[in-house]
Amino acid sequence: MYYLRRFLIILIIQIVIFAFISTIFIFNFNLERESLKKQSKQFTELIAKQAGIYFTVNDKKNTKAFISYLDSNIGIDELSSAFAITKPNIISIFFSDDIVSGKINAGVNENFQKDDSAEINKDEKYFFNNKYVAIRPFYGDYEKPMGVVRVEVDNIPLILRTLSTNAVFYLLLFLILNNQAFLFYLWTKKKKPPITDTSYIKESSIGSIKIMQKIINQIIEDHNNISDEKNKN
Amino acid sequence: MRKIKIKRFIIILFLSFISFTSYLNANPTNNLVVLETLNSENKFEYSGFFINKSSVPIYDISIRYVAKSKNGEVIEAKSVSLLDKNNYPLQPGEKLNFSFVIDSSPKTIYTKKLYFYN
Repeated sequence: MYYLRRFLIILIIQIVIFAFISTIFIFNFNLERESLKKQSKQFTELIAKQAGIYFTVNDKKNTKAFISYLDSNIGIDELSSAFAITKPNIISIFFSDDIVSGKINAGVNENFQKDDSAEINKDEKYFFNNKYVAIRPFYGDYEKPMGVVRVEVDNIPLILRTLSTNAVFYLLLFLILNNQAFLFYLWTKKKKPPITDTSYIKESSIGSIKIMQKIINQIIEDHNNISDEKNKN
Repeated sequence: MRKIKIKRFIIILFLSFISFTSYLNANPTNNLVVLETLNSENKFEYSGFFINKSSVPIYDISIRYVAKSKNGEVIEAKSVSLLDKNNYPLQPGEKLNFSFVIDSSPKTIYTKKLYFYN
């Protein structure tokens, strides 16, 4: 029973420490996710700008030529290295007439902006949306968009990335918190009373014994005084 | 004796953790960008290119494409070998263009993944 209680206390302390580290991890993960969102938006804007320039003067269905155009203007290596954390493998280019005619579900509203409520823009798994979608319309000579550039980014690699980047920090934090918990235990630990031979009598009985001792001493003293007076006479 | 065992265990645990996280850092995603668009037959068409940046010829490159429905069911999986008679093997510095088409209806595809094998 004693060992079970000790084990349970240790388990509870470890759970509290893990909960604290998990909170820090979630905070770090959210920071990384916001950074990735920003990167994705900038990336999509860049592609949309290039698509607007290219498809204004070229055949819109010739997307093979567009990727060569991207390579010559920006460089595929630069494009792929723009994402340091997790990058999209697929860049989608959808034209507005295909979207309007319903041939394709691009996850946009009637203004060709991202529709956050669209099912295709979500992927709920492991208690959070692990897909981020960035969508930007691209324009030709007219005000109406020619189409949209859509980029999907997976959030799952971010979890591993956050864990691997901060691994040593989490480990040290775990060790330090355990150390602090142990110090706290030492501080609050009650000092055991020293074992003495007086344990045969209770502390509360000492007072009455002292009173009895005082009365007996008084009686003895009185008797001594009487005997002294008799001797003098 | 028991203390030494616990110390050894903590050191091994620490080293394993560091090695595991280093492994995660050393395995970034590949440098492949693929363009997706709707072709004239209203099917998804994927096009891109790959450059052999290594100093040795490459004998096998393939892409695996997996499309999932709204419910997360796999509706199409396709493996495409990028090398053929004309470009086998891919020499260092050589550029390889590729494109492939998916049979499933674009409206039924909700999630798609592209895996690159080299």
